Formats: sequence, C-alpha cells, structure tokens
Amino acid sequence: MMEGANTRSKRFTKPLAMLVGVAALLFVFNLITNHVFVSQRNLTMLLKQSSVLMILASSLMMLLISRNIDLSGGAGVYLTGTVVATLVVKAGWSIYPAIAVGVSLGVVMGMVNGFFIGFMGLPAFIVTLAAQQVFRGVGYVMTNAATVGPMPKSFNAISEAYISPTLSVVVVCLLFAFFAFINFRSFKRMGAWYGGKDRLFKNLALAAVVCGALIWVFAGYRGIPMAVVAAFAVATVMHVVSTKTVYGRHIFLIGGNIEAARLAGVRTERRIFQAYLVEGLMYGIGGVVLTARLGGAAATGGTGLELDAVAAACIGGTSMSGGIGSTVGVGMGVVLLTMIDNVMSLMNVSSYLQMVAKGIILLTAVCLDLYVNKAKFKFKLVNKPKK
Amino acid sequence: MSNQVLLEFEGLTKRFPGVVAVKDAGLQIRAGEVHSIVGGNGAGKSTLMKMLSGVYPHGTYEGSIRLMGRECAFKTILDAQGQGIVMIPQDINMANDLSVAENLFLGKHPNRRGFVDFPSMYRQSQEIIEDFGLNVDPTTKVREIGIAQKQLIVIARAMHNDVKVLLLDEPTSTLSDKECKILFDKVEMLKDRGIACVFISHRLEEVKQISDVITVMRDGMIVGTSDNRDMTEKKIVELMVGRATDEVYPERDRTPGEVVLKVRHVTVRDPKVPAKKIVDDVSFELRRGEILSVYGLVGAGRSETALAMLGAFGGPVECEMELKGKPIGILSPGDAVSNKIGYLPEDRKRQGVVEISSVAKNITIPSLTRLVKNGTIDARRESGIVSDVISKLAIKTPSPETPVRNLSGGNAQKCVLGRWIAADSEILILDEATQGIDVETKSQIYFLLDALAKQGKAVLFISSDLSEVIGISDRIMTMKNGRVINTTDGKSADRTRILWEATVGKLEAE
Repeated sequence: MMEGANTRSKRFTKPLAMLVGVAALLFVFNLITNHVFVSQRNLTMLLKQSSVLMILASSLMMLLISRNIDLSGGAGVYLTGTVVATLVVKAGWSIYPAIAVGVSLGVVMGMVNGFFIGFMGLPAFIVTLAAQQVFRGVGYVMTNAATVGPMPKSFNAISEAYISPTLSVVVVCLLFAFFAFINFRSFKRMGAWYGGKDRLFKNLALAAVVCGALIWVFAGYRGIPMAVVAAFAVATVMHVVSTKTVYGRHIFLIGGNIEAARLAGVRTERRIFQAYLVEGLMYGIGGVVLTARLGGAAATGGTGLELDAVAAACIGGTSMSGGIGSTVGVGMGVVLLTMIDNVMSLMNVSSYLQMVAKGIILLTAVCLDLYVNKAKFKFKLVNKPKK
Repeated sequence: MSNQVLLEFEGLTKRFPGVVAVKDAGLQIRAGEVHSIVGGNGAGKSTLMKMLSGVYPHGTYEGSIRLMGRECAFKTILDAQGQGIVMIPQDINMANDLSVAENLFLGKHPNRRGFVDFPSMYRQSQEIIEDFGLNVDPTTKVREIGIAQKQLIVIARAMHNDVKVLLLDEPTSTLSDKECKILFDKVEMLKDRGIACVFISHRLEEVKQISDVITVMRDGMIVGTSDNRDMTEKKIVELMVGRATDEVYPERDRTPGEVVLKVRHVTVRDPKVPAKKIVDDVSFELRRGEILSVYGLVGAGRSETALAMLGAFGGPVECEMELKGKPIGILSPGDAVSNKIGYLPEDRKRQGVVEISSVAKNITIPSLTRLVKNGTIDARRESGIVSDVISKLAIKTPSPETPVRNLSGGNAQKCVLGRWIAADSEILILDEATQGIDVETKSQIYFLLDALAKQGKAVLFISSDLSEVIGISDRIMTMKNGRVINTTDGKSADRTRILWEATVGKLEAE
C-alpha cells in the first residue's frame, strides 16, 4: 500500500518538476535577454523558426527508432525547396503544380535512400552521406549555387501568413477540447490499460497549461503563423502514425530486436524502405515551408538541419540504440534547441560560440538520458550469454 | 595405461542460478591419450571444459584441478594457456583479414623497435606450419582458408606454445568427412608427442574411432568412464539414456487427422562451405491434431530445417512444401504468417522476444493487421486479445504493459507461444520450446500443446530433451548429420533406441 502511494505521488512530482524547470528556464532566459525573450512576438518567432526542424525531426525519429539514420535531411530539404523555387521563379509555373512536383521529388529521393538501405541492406550512414552530397550537388549544379527568388507573396503565405488572433484562440481551445475528449474516451474504453485517473488528470493539467500559454502568445501578437500550423499538423500525423498504426508498431519492434521482429512475420526490409519514403515526404514539405519562410531558396538553405534533427530527437529522449522515442519528446527537443539559438542570438553571442554551446547541450542531454535510464544500461552489461 | 597422469580433477561442481550444470566431476587424463567425453545436450560437457580452460575463473566453481601434480587456479583463459591447457572452441575466432602468420603470433608479434619484424615472423610461421605437416602459405589471409585449416592452425599455435592438454569442443561438427579425417590424423600425431587430447563429441562412430578412454556424462555427472575396448556403443547409449524424469505429461488420447503440411527435399548448405550439407534431403508430413517431434543432438540440422521452411535461413536452400494439397512458396517469415504458420525460435532472447517492448506488443505482432480499424490499431480489440492470451497461458506479469525483459524466462517464452495462439496459427513450429524453463512452466506448455493439438492444430516440436520427446509426441522423427534416420510412433517409443538413432544411426537389424 505504501508503495502504491509512493508511485502515485511520484507520478505527479515528475511532471510538476518538469513544469517548474521550464518556468525557471524561461525566467532565466528572460533575465539575460533584457526581458525580450518572454515576449509574445519573440515566442511566435521562435515557434516559426522551429517549424522546419520539427517537420524533419518527427520523421527522422522513426528512422532512429528503427536503428537507422539520415544524414541527407538538410540537403534533401534544400533540393526540393530549390526545385520548387526554380519552377516558380524561372519557369513561371503556378504555385500548386510546383509544390506537387517538389513534394513528389522528395518522396522519390526518400525512396532511393530506402531502396539501398532497406532492400539492398547497405549501411544507412554511408548511403545517406552519399545522398547528402548528391542532393546538394544537384541543387548547386541547377542554380550555380545562387539564391533563387524572390518568391511570390502568395507562396510565402504558406509560412508567413497568420491565423487571426481571435480565430487562433478558438483553434487552440478546440484543440484542447479535442485532446480532452480523446483522453476521456480512452480512459473510459481502455480501463486499466489507460493508467488510471492519475494519468487523466496529469494529461489534462499539462494540456491546459500548454494551451493557456499558447493562447497568451498567439492572442497577444498576430495569431498562429502558418509555418507552425504545418509543423503541428505533420507532428500530429507522425504521432498517430508512430503510436497507433501497424507501420509505427513495426518500426518500434524492428528497433527493439530486428531478428525477433522478422521471425514473428514483420517484413523488415519493406518497413525500413517505407520509413525512408516518409522521410522523403518530409524533405518535400520541409523544402516548401523553408522556401516560403525565407522568400526564396538560398544555397545555404537547410545546412546542418540533419544534425540538428538528430540532436533534437536525441534531447527528446529518442534512443540511439533503437526502439524508444516519442513525437512529444522530439517536439520538446526541437523547441529547446531553437530556444537556445534564439536566446544566444538575442544576447549577441557569436554564431561560432553558439555551435559550441549547442554541442555541449546535446552531450549533456545524452548523459542525462543515460543516467536516468541507468537501470536499462546496467541490464545490458549484466546480461552476459550463459552456458 | 603406463603413461603419466597429466591432468587430474576432482569434485568439480558448477552452479548457475537454479541449476547445477556440473556435479562432483572427477577424472584423470594421461599423457598421449585421447580421452573422449560424450553426453547429450545439457549433459555438462562444455561447462566442464570451460572450468578446465579458465573460461570460468577459479573461485566461481567448487573442486580442484591439478596439472602434473600442481594445484591450478586459473583466473583467465590466458592463465590456463600459459600453463599448457588450451581449448579449441566450436567456433573459432581468428582475425579474418590478417595473414596466417599474424594470427599465429597474435598478441606477440616479433618486433624490432616497435615495428613488426615480418621476415622473421614469416620464417618462424613457416617452421611451425611445416612442423605440423600443414601446407599453407603463411602470408595467406585467414578469410581465404577453410574452417578445418583454421582449426589446425589454432592447434599448431597451441603446439608451438608448448601445449600439454588440448581440449577440443565438438571440433567435427562443422567439418566435412574428409576434413574430419585430416583432423584425426593430426590428433594421432599429437598423441605421439605426448599431448593429451580431451575430445568432446556425440557422434559415437568417431568417438570409437579415435579414443583411448571414453567418459560418459549425463545431467551434469560423470556416469561412466573406461577404456575404449570396454565401452561398446550399446553401453555408451545405455549410460547416456538414464531414467525417465518424473515430469507430468498429458494423456495421449489425440487422434491425428489428415495431412496439412507436406515438406519435401529440404536441403540446406553451409553458406561458407557449399560442399557441406547441413540438412540433406529431409522430407516429412505433418498431420492435423498431431505433435510430431524432431529429435536430434547439436548439428543434426533440426533448426536449419525449420528456418529453411520459413524462408529465414541466411543462405540459399531447397525446400518444397504443400499446404493442404496446394504447393506454397515461403520466402520470408512474413509469408509463413500469411499461411498461418507460426514459429517459436530456438534462442528466445536473440530471436524470440523484443525485450524492451511490452508483453502486449510482443503478443500481438503477427495479429496486428487483423486489428486495424480506420487505418489504426483498434486498442480495445488488441487489449481483449492480449488479456485472453495472458489468462489462457497463465502468464505471470504485473501488467500487459510491462516490458518482457522484466519477466522470467518461462513467462517470456509463453509470450512467444501466445503470439501464435493469438494469431490462430494452424501450424506451430517450436524449436526447443522448453529450454531454460522451470519445471512447472514446462508442464504447462506440454498441456497447452496437447490442448492445441486437440483443437486441430499441427505441432512440429523440435527438441533435444529425450524425456519430453517421448512424453508428448504422436510421432518422433530422429535426425543425425542433417538426415532423417527414422520416424517412429510416439507412444511405443523406446528411449535407448531413439538415442541410438541420434548418436549412432539406424538400428541395422531388429
């Protein structure tokens, strides 16, 4: 009985501690940036900045879970963005066909990676390293490494337009209501599997805090930027895909033990191919959003994005040895990483020093993760073959 | 018998959590003799060798080991090698991309001021190789030579390092007949030089052929030891058989129905040595409502037959199958699942369960596609199936969401079995389903299989546990060296005869 009470209180202290931690972090950030950081305008910009990273990281998470990796993400986003920009600016295409071509191209690029890694069984690291060179190289050949732009206003609206503040408030409230509805329904239907009333309260309380904060941010500035809408939509879809579909389940099983998954009937090669296909889709969506946000496709577009995505996923608790990860965690990783960027830019820290800081934060996050999951680590060491 | 005693041990006992692998073992091994140790799987032969060779350091077992009268307390394998006891393991680890010479001197390359002295290393290697009567260029990469030659090179290295006792753990299981002969010639040569060879095998014909002394182990104990001429094959098999265990088996009142699966001409070749057939033209039929056991010892080709049937063997195989009269082609375990064939692999941790995933997720893997509603997995139906399996199989778990790694071996195994019950498989291929499981769970599994067979499922039960094979089968198929030796009725099966078939071969005359 004592133990039960203990875990119950733990269940509440953990998210509470997290909340206090975030509040403290925001307070500190606000102090060192002369009260610019926690302004509605800055937070809106921050969310907008993080959107492309979120789009890429949410599908990269699936690759990491299946014990694969993608180093060609940044180049992929750059190439699709450049192709869309070239079609619109130079060939005079209208927006939607250009977007369709860009997104399809992304899917094809992902399928090429997936073919070599999934079906041919080549190491993901090497294949995507080669793809990174090829993707960026093709883009440079096409454009002579020049910026393609400016894009028409109507295109930029994909990222830069806002849902009006009033409507934004309504949207956030609806989202909260929907979330609450889903949770109530699972709570009723799943019974013991859901995790009891504690989990229901915890989820609702967290959602209320987050939605409240979002309402404050969006209502106080210009509303929800379209880039954030796109990122949120992609993340939500990926969350459902990773937790509720057969494909998502198979990816987790493959990461946990590919041999056991295969012998239980999972078609592992096909699943890995599909994971890269989805990653390719995100090159397309990410490329369009990035080009819209910058108003054109610059030669440096997407540089380092693939590694930021790995870092964000990792900070968000995705296991590099596969089988563990969640979109919510990745979202937090993405926001944290963008926050650090944002704060340091506001403090006028040089971008070189920012790289050092980001590296250290990534390392710290991984160390913390290892420390928290010490039990699992120990298990691996103790688990020597018998006989 | 006049030879001096080289190695002597007594009272050796090795305990693992829950089991005593070797119990009070004692022997004397003399210079220049080949001393064979035979026994079924799990008899404790390998464990005994690991104690003698320092794999299990001194202090982790009870008893004493004396080499030439001196008490030994090996802390590591290198310790044992330094004093002259070398074990040649079943699968040899060599640096494949280095040359024969570099492997011969691994760890102590002749050097001049930190640089490897290649001329001297090659010269010395040539001498060692010639001295042992081998014909290999010392500059050849190890990758390019066969397993047999690798073994001989490891033995040559041991001889060069002044070995006194050579422990050979099933050295012939990966060799072709011709390679075996070469190995045995070399063993004769070692005898002439006064080296003692301890030879582990369960192929009685080769044991009879090369041994001076034969020792039989069963259930971790030495049950008999004597000169080769006093130890007939019949006597060895009788010693190995032992008594029936007092486990509880279900009553065999099943009536097998029509043939559901015909398997013809399964042939599996060693991917590295295409000339060697691991499985050689195996054919059998499986009936609805029957438990067909496949009995054999290590290297009999049982698991490989199963993997070939599932399209899961890592190399080209030949296999024809007919399911309910229709020819089927199974290219991957995914195809097997679509044909309602379920497989419980031999190595539970590596091939069976996804340890970091929950009990529920492990159980529903092959059933997921059936559970899809509106594109997503129907959580309610999933939890229904899982609760069903958990209660039907009495899986002891705090919750369906508990990761399988927190479960005991027996309960983890039930998750794998439950997976196929949830998927409603009509054919179950179970490879060593009760290995490393407590007695109570074993019994539960026997009764469960009986119930499944009565529901009309067909069970292919691969096992090297003679008692359970005799206890639950409708028919027993014995295998040895990749071939089917015989198929007999389960109820009237005779322990000695089955074991004879698995170790010696077909009984010639009644």
